[in-house]
Amino acid sequence: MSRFTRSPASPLSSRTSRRTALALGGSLAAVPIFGPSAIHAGALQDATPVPVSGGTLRVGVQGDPTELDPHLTVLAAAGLVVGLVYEGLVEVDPELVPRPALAESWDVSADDLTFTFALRPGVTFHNGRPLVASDVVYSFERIRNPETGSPSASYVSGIASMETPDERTVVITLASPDSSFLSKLAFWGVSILPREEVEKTGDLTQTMVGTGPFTFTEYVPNTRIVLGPNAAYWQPGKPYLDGVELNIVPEDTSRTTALVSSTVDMIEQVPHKDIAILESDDAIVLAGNRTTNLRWLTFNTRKPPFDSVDFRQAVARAMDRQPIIDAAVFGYGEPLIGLYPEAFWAGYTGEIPPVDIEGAIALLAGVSLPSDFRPRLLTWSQYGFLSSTSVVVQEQLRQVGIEAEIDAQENGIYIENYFTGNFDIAVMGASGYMDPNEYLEQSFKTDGVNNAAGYSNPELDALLEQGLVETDQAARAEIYQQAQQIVIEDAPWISLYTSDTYEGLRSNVKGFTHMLSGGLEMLRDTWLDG
Amino acid sequence: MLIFILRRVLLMIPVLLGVTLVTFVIVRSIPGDPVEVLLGADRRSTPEQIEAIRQSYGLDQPLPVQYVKWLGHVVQGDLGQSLRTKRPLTEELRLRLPVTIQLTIFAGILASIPALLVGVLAALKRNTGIDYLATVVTLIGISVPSFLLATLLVLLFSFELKILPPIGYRTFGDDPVQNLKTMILPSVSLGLPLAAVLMRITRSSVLEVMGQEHVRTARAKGLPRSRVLMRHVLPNAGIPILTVAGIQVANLLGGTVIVEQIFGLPGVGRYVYEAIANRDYPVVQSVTLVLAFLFVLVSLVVDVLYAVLDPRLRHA
Repeated sequence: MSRFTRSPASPLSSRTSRRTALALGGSLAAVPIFGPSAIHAGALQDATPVPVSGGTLRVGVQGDPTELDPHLTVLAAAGLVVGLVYEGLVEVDPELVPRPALAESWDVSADDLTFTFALRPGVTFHNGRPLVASDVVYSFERIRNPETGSPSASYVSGIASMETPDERTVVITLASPDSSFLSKLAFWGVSILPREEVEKTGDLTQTMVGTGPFTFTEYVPNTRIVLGPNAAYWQPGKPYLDGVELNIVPEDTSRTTALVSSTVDMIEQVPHKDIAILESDDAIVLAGNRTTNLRWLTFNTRKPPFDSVDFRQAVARAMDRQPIIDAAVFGYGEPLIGLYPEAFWAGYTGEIPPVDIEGAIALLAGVSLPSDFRPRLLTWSQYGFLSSTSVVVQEQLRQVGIEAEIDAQENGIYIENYFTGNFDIAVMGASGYMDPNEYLEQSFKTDGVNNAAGYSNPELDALLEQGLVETDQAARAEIYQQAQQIVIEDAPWISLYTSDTYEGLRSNVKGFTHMLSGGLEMLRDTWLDG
Repeated sequence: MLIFILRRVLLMIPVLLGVTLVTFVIVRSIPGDPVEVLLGADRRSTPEQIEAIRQSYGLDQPLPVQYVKWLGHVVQGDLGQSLRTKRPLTEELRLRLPVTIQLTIFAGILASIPALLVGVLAALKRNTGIDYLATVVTLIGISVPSFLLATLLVLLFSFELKILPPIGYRTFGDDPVQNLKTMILPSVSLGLPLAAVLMRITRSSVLEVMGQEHVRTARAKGLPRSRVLMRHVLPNAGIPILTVAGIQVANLLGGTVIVEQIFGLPGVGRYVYEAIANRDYPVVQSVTLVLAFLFVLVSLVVDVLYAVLDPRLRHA
């Protein structure tokens, strides 16, 4: 997948960090998370071009961040900007492997509870002050503090204590072992901020002061975010760009048009309907495709007949994923049955069984259904691909004799209905996992915070707890394989597909690498060639 | 006249009060609250953490208290701040209201000049080729929704011809050329449907007045056609046209959402729409109040113009 977007070799500052990191997760560093993916027929980038400094990159982005404080928002649109201006102890590479960022290296105690991070020297905030260990403690304490009201509190709530033996060392002790801890630290919502800037106005919602490659210049709401270069950035020579201008263009057609007409040099979230048009344009290159998004059906297992495994299994057998993918994302997606795609290290490797209409009908015969059974298919009207998904699902349910009604709701109403159990079957989507424990624990563990299905299975709970404590990656993969198998059998969710995401770049934009998280962090390696 | 205006200004107060009350009740009745929307459907927070966020937003006070507090601030000129961004709303409106007003004025001018000319022409040349052509064009104008027109214009002028930018708004003070360039297509998108409506009403209004006795009398007196038109027909035809124009233009103030979205304009319509989606209550309440005030103001201006046009109304 990196065929079109190869960044020039950027040395990790210390090889020893990988060794200690390896102690944590087996083959973390070497194994690519996602295997080679479909190569597009569009133009490919050169393998070893020479970076050129200068120029402002104009990017068309889909969402408006509205607020820019990393600790106070979880909006993906904000994450895009935060990822360019702030950094954390750890970051993930384009393939989701955690690697050093503000922490140059770390050691883990034998009981897997204590992490000793060595901070990278020579890092300064954009206000000129050097980064010190107490900044890390301050940032994490701020997130954990209930008064802050941070939606990312759960990422650092497992920390029992923090110490700073000296200005460059942070010792973090967890309450219980957590193999996903490093991935959590890589999340942009737990970025490191300088206390004095927060205390100036109480928060950093309208200005940004971080350690990242780009500095904050201005934010014009609904319109654009302008970033300048960090001349003192700890990666020497970078960023190559003089600045980044993120233009907010929510409308799909306008975004594509902005790229084609050179009003912007790059766009994120290329609309699937426009991929073919852009591929045939010689002046444009597409970067992509795999991203960490998931689309699925949730059953409300609290009420009949959705509490019946036979009913849910019947629906599972009626699902034919390819037509859904064709309708919802114009074919740019991959069918899923377990939670994670096979190419992910913890992905489900089992086969997706073919559609089985007779089997579904046979199972349904054994379930007592109310007369005039019309289950409500809750869907999110904001997202075209979910609406399209629901229409195809409704049609497929009809094939087994279930007449579902589509209930398309607006954002706030959808969310309230989903979390108060006011639905029958919900068509859902989400994105942004970094560690396999995330979705499995949040959605399927008893009382998980995202467990809208109301599902509970002690066997699965125990398995997930085991997965968190286990440090060997291969062993974890096996645990999560089993966990996904349980979820497939019990079917509180039916995984449908993951859709591809692309960035579109004009041919003079070089050195960009698509990230599986969908972020734009690799703009620090990007340059404009003419 | 002065008493008339004064009375209308006083009447504004109960009207606006009613608007704030209705807005408050409606937006609080919609399911979902700002915190739920903030967290989204991909929840990573425990119920306790969610409660902490709610408290930090100040959403725990009883509703009537929240309403009265907000009203108290408003009468002192403090419109409050956005729950999400904490930015003061007076600042937000200072940024966004001019955009929507500029859009409305441009659309209004672009619409009314051709509409009036064509409408009068069509009425004078009734049932000729010109009239039929005008009718067809206006039927298209009325039928095509503004967002479809906007998308078509973007595809034609930005995508294909590449002569106008699809996005990139700057204020007139910052960059007048860019400002005009980015305002043309949105103004036309809004203006064309408006022009269609105005043309129809102009045509039918002029025709109606032309059929009246006083016009026939004026012609019989030997007055030249142009004088009959300017002195007798148009002022009388003007009143219904003004009514429709006033309502349509006032509607534009809040109805520019989709066009603002498509062209990336930081206008008030889009701001309120997003605030409703985000359940950003202070924004919805304060901005709706401001828009209602402007609407009432526009209708007052229209009524005063009636009196200018029609002397019979001057001493009402």
